[in-house]
Amino acid sequence: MPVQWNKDMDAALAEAKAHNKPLLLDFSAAPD
Amino acid sequence: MPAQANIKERASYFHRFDVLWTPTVLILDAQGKERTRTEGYLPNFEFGAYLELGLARVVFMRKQWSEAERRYADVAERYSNTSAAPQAMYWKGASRYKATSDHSALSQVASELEEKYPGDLWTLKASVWLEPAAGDANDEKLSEEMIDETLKQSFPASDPPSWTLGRERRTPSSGTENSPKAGETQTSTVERKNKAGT
Repeated sequence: MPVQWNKDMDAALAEAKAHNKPLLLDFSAAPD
Repeated sequence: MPAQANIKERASYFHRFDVLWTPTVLILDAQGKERTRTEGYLPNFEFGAYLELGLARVVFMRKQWSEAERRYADVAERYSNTSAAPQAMYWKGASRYKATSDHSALSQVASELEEKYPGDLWTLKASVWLEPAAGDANDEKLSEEMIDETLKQSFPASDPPSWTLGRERRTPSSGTENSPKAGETQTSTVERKNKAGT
C-alpha cells in the first residue's frame, strides 16, 4: 500500500495533534 | 501519519526543523515535539526498525513504561539482525527498570547485550549495569593483603624505621631484627580499616 504523504506540514502537525498521533516528517532532496 | 518536504519546494520547513542534510526523517509526538532524528540513507529493513524504534521512543517519553518495554522488545526481536536491535534492547531494560525500580532488569539486559552484541555502542553503554564477577568481591581484600605485604618488606635491615630506635634488638636468628613486630608497631591496613569503622 503506497504511503499517502501530506505535503503540508502545518496541516499534518494539526492533524497529528487532533488525533493524538505521532508524526513522521521526511525531508528529501530527491525528485518525486 | 506521514508528511514530506522537498528542499526544492518547501525550503522553509528545512530551516524550521533545523534540517541540514538529506534524507532526514523526524518522528514527532502528537504535540509536535521531536523525539527521534535519523539522518542519511538506510536500507528498507533498517529504516523500518528505526521507525519503530522512534515510535517506541514516543511512548517512552510519555512515561508509559510497560507499553514502551513491549515495543522495544518487539523491535529487538523482529529486527534482531539490524543495527537498531542493541538500542532497542537497551531501552527495553530501561523501560522495565522505570516501571519496577528493579536494578536486576538493567543487569539482565546488559548481560543479554554482552552475549548477543559484543562491542556494540549500546552494549558498552549498558556495561556499567553488569553485576561484578564472583572474583571481583575479593579484589579489595587482595589489595589490602598486598599493601600489608609491601609494608612488611619496605623496612630494610640497614635502615630501621625511627620508631624502632632504642628498642631492644632481637638476635639475627629470629630474622626480624630490624623489623617491627607484626601487630605491635606496624598497624595493618585491615586493622586500620577496622578501627576507622568503629
